[in-house]
Amino acid sequence: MNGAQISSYWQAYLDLIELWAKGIWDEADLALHFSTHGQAEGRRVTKAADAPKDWSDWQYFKNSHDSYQWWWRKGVIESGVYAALVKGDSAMQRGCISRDAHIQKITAMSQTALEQLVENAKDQPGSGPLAAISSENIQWGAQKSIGLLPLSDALAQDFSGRFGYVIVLPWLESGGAELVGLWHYLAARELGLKPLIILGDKPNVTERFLAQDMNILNLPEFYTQATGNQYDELTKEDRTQVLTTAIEVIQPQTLHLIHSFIGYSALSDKTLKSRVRDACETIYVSAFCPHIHAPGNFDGYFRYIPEIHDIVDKFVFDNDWYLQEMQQMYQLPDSKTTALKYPIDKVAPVKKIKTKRPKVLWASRFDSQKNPQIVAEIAARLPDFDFVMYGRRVLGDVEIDWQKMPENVSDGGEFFNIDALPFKECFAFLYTSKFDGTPNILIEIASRGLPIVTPNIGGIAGFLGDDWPEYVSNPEDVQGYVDCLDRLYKDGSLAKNLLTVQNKILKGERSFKAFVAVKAALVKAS
Amino acid sequence: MLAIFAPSSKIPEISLVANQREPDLTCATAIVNIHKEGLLLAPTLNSLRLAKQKAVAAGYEIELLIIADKADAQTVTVAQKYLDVIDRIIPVKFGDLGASREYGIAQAKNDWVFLHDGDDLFSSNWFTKFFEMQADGEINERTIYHTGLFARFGVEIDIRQMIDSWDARFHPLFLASEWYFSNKSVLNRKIFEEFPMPYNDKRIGIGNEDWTWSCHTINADIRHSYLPETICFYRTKSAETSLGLTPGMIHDASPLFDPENIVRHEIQRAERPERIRAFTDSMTAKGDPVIGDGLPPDWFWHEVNLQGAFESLISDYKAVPHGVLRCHLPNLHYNVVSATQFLMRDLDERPKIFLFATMDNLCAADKTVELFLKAAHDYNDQSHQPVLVVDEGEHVFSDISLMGRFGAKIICTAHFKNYYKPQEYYTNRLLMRPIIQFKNSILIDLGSDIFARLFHEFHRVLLENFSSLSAILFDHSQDIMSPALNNVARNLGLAKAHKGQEMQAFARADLAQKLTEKLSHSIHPFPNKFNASLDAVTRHRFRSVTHADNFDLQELLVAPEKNTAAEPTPKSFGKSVSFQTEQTGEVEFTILKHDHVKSYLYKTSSTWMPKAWYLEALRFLRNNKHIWIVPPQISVSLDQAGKLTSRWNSFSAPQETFSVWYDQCFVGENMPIAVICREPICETPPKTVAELAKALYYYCADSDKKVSTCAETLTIAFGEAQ
Repeated sequence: MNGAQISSYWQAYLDLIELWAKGIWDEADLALHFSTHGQAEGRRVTKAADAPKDWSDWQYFKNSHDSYQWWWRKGVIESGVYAALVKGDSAMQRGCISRDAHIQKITAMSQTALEQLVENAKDQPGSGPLAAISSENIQWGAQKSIGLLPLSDALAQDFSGRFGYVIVLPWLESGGAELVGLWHYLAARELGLKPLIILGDKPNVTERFLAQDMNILNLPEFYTQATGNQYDELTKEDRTQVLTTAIEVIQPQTLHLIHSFIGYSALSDKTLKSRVRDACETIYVSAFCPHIHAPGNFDGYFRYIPEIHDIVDKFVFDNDWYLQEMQQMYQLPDSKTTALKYPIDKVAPVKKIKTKRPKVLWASRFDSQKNPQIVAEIAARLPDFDFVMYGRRVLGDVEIDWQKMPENVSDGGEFFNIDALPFKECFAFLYTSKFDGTPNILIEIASRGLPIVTPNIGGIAGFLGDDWPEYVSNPEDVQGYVDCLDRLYKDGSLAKNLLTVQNKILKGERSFKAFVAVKAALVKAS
Repeated sequence: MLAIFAPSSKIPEISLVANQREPDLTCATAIVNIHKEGLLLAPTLNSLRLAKQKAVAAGYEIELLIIADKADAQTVTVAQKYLDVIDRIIPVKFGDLGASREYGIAQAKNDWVFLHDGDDLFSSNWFTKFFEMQADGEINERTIYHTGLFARFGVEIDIRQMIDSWDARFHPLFLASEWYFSNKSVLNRKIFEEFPMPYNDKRIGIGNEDWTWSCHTINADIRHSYLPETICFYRTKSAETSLGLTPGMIHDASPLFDPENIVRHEIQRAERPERIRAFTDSMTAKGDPVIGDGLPPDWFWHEVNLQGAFESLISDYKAVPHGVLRCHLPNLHYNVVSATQFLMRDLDERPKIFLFATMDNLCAADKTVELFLKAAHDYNDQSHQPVLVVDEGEHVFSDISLMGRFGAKIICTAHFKNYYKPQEYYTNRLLMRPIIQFKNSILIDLGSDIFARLFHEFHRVLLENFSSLSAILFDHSQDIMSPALNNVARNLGLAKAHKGQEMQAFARADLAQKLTEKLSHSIHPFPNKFNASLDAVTRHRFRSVTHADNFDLQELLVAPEKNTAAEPTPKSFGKSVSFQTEQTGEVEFTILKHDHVKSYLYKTSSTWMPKAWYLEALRFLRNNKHIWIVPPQISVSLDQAGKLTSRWNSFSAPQETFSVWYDQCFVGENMPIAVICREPICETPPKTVAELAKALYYYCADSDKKVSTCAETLTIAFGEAQ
C-alpha cells in the first residue's frame, strides 16, 4: 500500500480522517483498515487515478460548507476529490471545470472547449480565460467586420496608380470648403496632376458638383458596395481605417485634406498618421477661419494643427490674415504655410431692373456668426428699403425670430446656387458677419455685379482691400450699415465706382489662370 | 493680435518704460520648463509674454528663462521665436522635471522665482499681482504662492479654487490621497535650499514631485497660499501623453506622514483660534457640504477672453451652460484624514516586514499567518516591525493579541473600506501610503488579492523600492482555480515584464518545480525545516495542542534553494511529427512532417493552442484531400484593457473570416491565429499578424482552397493587445 493509495482510501472515511488527524491512528492503522478493504462496511473506495484531470479543489469547495471543506480549510486534507467521489457524480461535477454548471454558464462554452481552457490554465498559470473568470465573465463577441481587404481589392481595381493628387473632402454640398476643393481639383487637372476627390465623411453630392466632370471616390458609397456594410454605421476609428486604406491603395503623390473630420482624425491618429505619410510624398492641409458659436467659444479644424503639423508639408490658408493668426498662435514656420486667393468661375454682372422700392440682398448662414438678427435693426431704420434674406438654418445655433423682423424684411429661403439669388432686383449686398476668413459669398456676389457693404473683419480686406469705402466700423454698427446703404442708393456714381473696383479685383486677382499659376508654383516648391 | 477671436479682449497699449522701484521688490525670474510640447509651447509663451509686458509696463522686471530638458527640435524652434521676451534658453539633459526645475532656479538672477510648465497659460496679472502684493508688504518668504484659480481645459474642463494650507478647512493629511498644490507657483528660492525639489523616476514609480514637495513643505509649516484673482489655465491631456497621469506612479514618503508628526499637526490644528464654521473636522460626515464654491467671477471671464485668443480650447468655458461651471473647492475628505491616521498609527521607527494575506485564499490561514507574524517579529533580533495587510474575509482579529505578542500593526482591508469609506480611486493609494513610508522594508505576499491589486497598479514601486519582495505559495499542488496561485503567477508575469529586480517566489518542492517550468521563472522550494513547520500546522495540526512549530524567515528569505529556471519547453507536435522551424518572431512558420507528408504551420507568437490539435489537424488534412487549411474553431482574443472575447469562426466563406481577422489587427485586439496548411500560402512567410491574415485571405480567393476546422479547437491570445 503506497501513500497515494492510503490518501485516497482514508479520505473516503470522514471518521477516519479525524482519527488520523488527531494522531490516534497512523499510516499503519490506515494500512490495516485498507487490507480489510472496508467494503464490508459498504463504503465506496476509490483509486487516485479516479481523480479527474480538470479537478479543482478551489472550485469544489467554493460554496461548500460540509465537514470535508472544514478539514480542507484547516489544511489537514489536501484534496476534496475523494469526498466528491464518495458523494457521487453530482458532487464530482462541481469540482471538474469542464463539467461545472456555473463555469459552463459564465463561459458559454462546451465541455470540449472547457477542457482546452483547463489545459491552457495549466500551461499558463495566472493568465487566460480561467484566471479571468474569477472577476468577469468571458464574453462572446460578434465577428466585427470592417472589410478592409475586400475594400482594398475593389479600390485597387478602380483607383490604384491612376491618381497623383488626392483631395479629401467631407462631402460636396454648398459650403466654401467644397468650392476650395473644386478649385484645387480643376487647377490640378490643368497641371496634369491626375486629381481625384475622396469624400471621407458623407456621400452627399449636390447637382452643382455632379455637373462637373470630376473623378470622385465617394468613399461611403464605394465602401458599401465593396463590403455590404454601411459606412455611417462604422465607428469613427473604423472610418479612419477605411480612409487610410484607400489612401494606401491609391498611393497618390500628393494628399490634400480639406475640412474632412475623418481625414483629420486619420492624420492625428498616432498609428495611422505614419501610414498616410508613407503612402504619399506630399501632404497639404487647407484650413479656414474657425467657427464662432453663439456663446463666444470658437473652434475648428485648426485645433488639429499641433497634432498633425509633423506630417504636413504645407498648411494652405485662404487669406494672409488667417495665415498670420495661425502663425502667431502656433508659431508655424513660413516654410509650412501659404495663403492662396481662390478664383471665381465667371464675372457675369446681372443687369438690374427697376423696382418699386429699393431692395437689399442678404445671403449667408442663419447662425450667430453671420449675425442675421441685426438686419431687424437696420431695416427698422430704413423703412423705405426692402430686405430679402437667404440662408440655411444651423441646427443648435441661434434661431432667427422672424416675428421680430420688421415688415420690410422677407425670408427668401435656402439657396444652393448663387444664380438663384435675385441680383437684378437688388442694389446692394449686405454682409453682417461678426467673424470670418475670406467669405466666398462676397467673391461670388461681386462677380454678379452687386456692391458690397460689410464690416472689415478677418480676411475680407484680403479681397476688397484696406480702403474699401463701404466698410462699417464693426459688425454691430447698425447706423454704419444704414449710412452705407443709404449712401449707396442715393449716390449712383458711388455704386458704379465700387463695381469698377470689384471687377478689377476679380479680374486681376481672382482669375482661374492666376490661381493655376500660384498652384503650379506651390506644387513645384513641394 | 488674434483680436478677431475675442472682440472684447483687445490688449491695451503697453508702455515698456519701467517705473523706478526698489530693485529687490521689483524683480523676479520666471522659469519655463520645456520638453516636447511642440507647437503647444506657443500659446504658453504668448500668454507669458502678455503677463510680462503688463509687469514691465507697471515698472517691474521679469527675467524669463527657458529650461529645455531634452527638448525636441520643434519645441526649441518655437521657443526661439520668443527671444523678444526670453532672456535665456538653457538646454539641459536631466530627463526629469524636478531636476530641471531645480537647475533653472539655480540659474535665476533673482531670489523670487515663478515656475511654469511649457503647455499651461497664466492670467495676464500673474506677475503684476505678485509685485503689487510685494509692494504692499503682503508677501512672505516662507510662503509659496499659487494661482487663485486652477482652471483645467482640454480633455477635461473645470475650475478649482486654490485652498490655502492655513485655511481651517484644509487638513495636511488630505495630501495622502490627493494632489492639491502644483509647482506652478512663485516662491523665494531659499525654500528650495531647505527643501530640494524631489525627482520623478518613472522606472521606480516614485513621482508626482510637486505632490511630494508640498507634503515636505507643509510638514515644516511652510504655507501654500495664492495670489488673489490669478489663474493657471492647466492643459489636460489623455493619460498616455500626460506626465501627471502616468499610471502606477505615487508620491514619495514624507515626514508629513510620520506618526509623531500626524499627532503634532492634530494638536496644532486643535490649538488654532480659527475653526471651520459649523464643522468639526474630526467628526464630520463624509458628504457634508463645505462652504466656498460659486460661479466664476468676472475677472475669470475677462481672462478667458484674453487667453482664449492664445488657445481656443480656453474659449470652451463659454460653452458650458450658465450655472454649471463653478469654482469648486478641492476635495476636502475628512474621512481620508481619519483613514490615513488609522493606517499610520502604531507604526514605530523600525523598518517593516509587510505581510499581505487574503484569508480566503489560504488553507490553515489562521495558523500560517500567525506564524508569519511571529517570524517577522523574531526576524534578525526584532529589527523589523510586522505589519499585516489582510483581506480578512470572515475572520476577526485580536489587535491587542497580535500587537502585544508580536508588536504587529494590523490593517484589515474590509474594515478599512467599510469604516473609512475611501472612494475607489483613493483606496489603493491610501493603502500604499504606509508601505511607501517605509521603503527598504521586506514585503511578503501570500498570494493575496490585496497585494495583487496593489501590484497591478504599483508594481514598479513595489519591485524597485524595497529590500526584498517575496511571494509564498502554500498550495499543495497546481490547482488552476487557486486564487493564490493565479495572483502569484500574474504578479511574476508583471515583474518579468518590468525587467527590474527579480521577485522571489517560494512553494512546496513539487509545485515549485512544476511552476518553474510553466512560468519560466525560478520558484524556490521551501527549505526542509519550513516545510516541516508547514506540515505541522496543516496536516498534523490536531495531533498536539502544544506543538511549537515556527517559521524561520531568515532561512526562507536569505538563502533560498534555487530551482534552475527551466529552459523553454521544447516545441512538441506529437511523437509522430517532426518539425523544422523556418521563421520565428511575430509570426512563427514551421514545416511539419507526419507520415512522410509535409504540412505548414503558421502561428502568431502570442497564440496558445492545445497540444492535441496539431496531430489531429495533420491527420485531418491527410484524410481530407480537398481541405487545404485547418484553422481553429474558436478564437479568444485580448483587447487593450485586458478583456478576453471569444469568437466562433465559420469557414463556409473563409475569405470573410480571414478578412475579419485582418480587421481585428487594426482595432487594438491581440488576435490569436494558428493554421496548418497543405502548402505554403505565400512565397515568403508573413512577418506580422496582419500580413498573415492578409495572406490567408488572398490564398482562399481560389475557391478550390477549402478550409475546415477539425474539432472544436480553441486558440487563446496571451501577452499584450496589439
